[in-house]
Amino acid sequence: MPRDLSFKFALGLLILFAIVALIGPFFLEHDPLRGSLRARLDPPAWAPEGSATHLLGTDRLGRDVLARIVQGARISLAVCVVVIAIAGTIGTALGTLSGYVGGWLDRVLMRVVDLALSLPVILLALLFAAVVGPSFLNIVIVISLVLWSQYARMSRGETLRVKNEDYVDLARTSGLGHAAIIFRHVLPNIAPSLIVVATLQVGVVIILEASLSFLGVGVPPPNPSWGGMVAEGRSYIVSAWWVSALPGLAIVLVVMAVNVVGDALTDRINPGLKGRGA
Amino acid sequence: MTDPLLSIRDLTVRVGKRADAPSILDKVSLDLMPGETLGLVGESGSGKSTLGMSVLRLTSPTLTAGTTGRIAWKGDDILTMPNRKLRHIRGEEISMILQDPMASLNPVQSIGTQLQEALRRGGKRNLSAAAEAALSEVNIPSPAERLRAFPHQMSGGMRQRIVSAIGLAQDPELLICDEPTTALDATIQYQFLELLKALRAAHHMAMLFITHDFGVVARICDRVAVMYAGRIVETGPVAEIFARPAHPYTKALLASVPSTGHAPHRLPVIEGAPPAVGHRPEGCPFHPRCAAASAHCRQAPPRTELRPGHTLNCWHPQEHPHEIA
Repeated sequence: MPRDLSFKFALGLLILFAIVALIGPFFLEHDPLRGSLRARLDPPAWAPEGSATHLLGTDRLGRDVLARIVQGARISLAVCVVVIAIAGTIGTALGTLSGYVGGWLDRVLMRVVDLALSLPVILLALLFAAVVGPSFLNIVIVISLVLWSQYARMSRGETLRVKNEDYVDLARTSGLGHAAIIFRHVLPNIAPSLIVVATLQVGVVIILEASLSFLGVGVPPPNPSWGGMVAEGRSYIVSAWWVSALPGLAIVLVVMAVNVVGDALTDRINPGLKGRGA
Repeated sequence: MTDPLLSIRDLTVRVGKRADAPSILDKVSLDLMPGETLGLVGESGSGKSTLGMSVLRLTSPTLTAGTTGRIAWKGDDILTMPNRKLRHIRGEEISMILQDPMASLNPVQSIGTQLQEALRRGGKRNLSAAAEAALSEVNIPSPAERLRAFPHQMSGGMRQRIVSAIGLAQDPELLICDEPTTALDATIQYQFLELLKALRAAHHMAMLFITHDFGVVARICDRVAVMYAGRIVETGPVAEIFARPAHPYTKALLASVPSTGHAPHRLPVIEGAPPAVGHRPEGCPFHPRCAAASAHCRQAPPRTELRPGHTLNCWHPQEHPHEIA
C-alpha cells in the first residue's frame, strides 16, 4: 500500500476507535458488566451455532463481547490519553528546564531520568498493586512513572539545540526574560519532536495497560479492559477463541494504526528522528 | 566635550575564573560617542564578537565568570548592574543584529508575531500599524502581506532587513552589528549598508560595527579599531587609518585588500596564522608575524598617540604614508 494511503487508512481507523470509545457505550444493546448464565460462551453471529443476539458472542459469564470491547475501548484509550498527558507534561517541563538551565540541575535530573528508564514496569506495577490494590489510578501512575523519562530526554536534547540558535540570542538582546524565551521560542520549536514521541507512545501505553490487566494488576474486574479480556478468555482459547481473540484484534489494530500514523508524522515533521522513537 | 555613550576600560575576558586562564580579550579599552559609528576590524578569532556580546553581558557563563574590567553605559557599569536593570537596557537602549539572517528569526513564528513582540516591549500601541510602518522603514514591499509570512518564505537580504526592523523596534541608542553583511551577496550588501546608514540617521543612534571587511568600514564607519589576538592594536578616524596606517598589522591588512586600480598577480598575504587563544605570545601579540619586529617586541608595547584620536600600541610605528598595493 502506498505510504500516504496507509497513513490515511490508519488515521481513519484511529478516529473510528476514538468515536466508538466516546459515544459507543450509549448505543449498546447489552450491559457490558452483566451477563446471563444461560448464554455462556455463545459463539459470534457468523459461527455455526451463533445467533444475532450477541454479534461477537459472549464470555464465560454470558456477557456480550462486543459490549465489553466497546466499553473497554473507553478505558484503554482513557489510560492512554491520561498517561500521555501526565508523562508528557512532567517530562517536557523537567527536560526543557534541564536543558535550558544546564549545570548541576541538568546533571541531577538526567541521572533521575536514567533511574526512571531502568525501572522494570511490570515489577513496579506488581509491587504497587500488592501495596494499594489494582485500580485505574494505579495503572496511570505506574505507566507515567516510567514513560515521562522519554519526554525528558527528548525535550532536553531539543532544548540544547534550540537554546543556542541565534534567534534565542536575539530574543535575549531585546530584553526578553527566561520564561518568555522558553514559552515563545523554545517550546514551539521542540514541539514537533515531542508530538512524534507522544504518537509512538500510544502503542506502548496500550500494550502496557493490556499486559498489566492481563497480569491482574490493571483495571479491576468486572470493568472490561482489552488486556483484561484477553486474560480472562485464555483458559477457553481452544473451545471459545472469540473471548480472547477479538479484544486482542482490537489491540493489534489500534497499536498498528498508531504506529503507522506515528511513523508518517516522524517523516513529515522531523526526518532526522526516524527509528529513534520509543 | 560630551560624555561617551559607551566606555570600555581594561575589559579582559578569560575562559573561566582563574587568573591564569587563557584570555580571549586582553585589556581592551574604547569609547563610543552618541551617534558615532565605530568599526571593529580583525581576523577570525581576534575577539571582536566576544567584545560585542560582552557589551550586553550575553557571553556564555564560563566567559562571564572570567570577565573583568568595566563597561560603562552612560556611566553605569553593565558588568555589575542587576539583571532587572540590564533587561531594560537590552533592546530598549542597546540592540543587536547578528551575522546569519537565516538563524536570526524563529522559524515557527510569523514575521508579524516576532516584530510585534519587540514593538510591544517598546511600548507601541497600535501594533499592526506599527509593524507595517517598521517594515516599510526597512524597505520591505507590501508590508501588510509580509507580516503573515514565515522566515523560510523570504530571501536572506529580506530577512536581514526584518532582523534590523526588530532590532530597531524599541528605538535603541546603540546598535551592535556583528558582521551583518557577511552572509549577503555583494549587491545586497551594498543595499543593506545604505539602509543601515539611513536608519542610523533617522534614529540618531550609535553603532558598533563588527566586520573583517575594510570596504564595509570605509562605507559606514566614523572611527575604526583594529583588533589582533584579543587586543586593540590601533584606533583612529577612518580616513586617518586608511591614509596613514601606523601599526604593521593594520598596514598588512590594508595591503591585502584587493583594489580595482591595478590588478596585482597575487594579493599580498600576512604569513602565518593568528595565535590560538592560550598560545598568545608575550609582549606584542603580532611580533612573530611582523616584518618590523625586534627584541623589544617581546615586552608589552607602549601606547602612542600619533595625532589626536589616532593611537596605537607598537614599538615600531610605521610613520610613512601607506602605499596602495
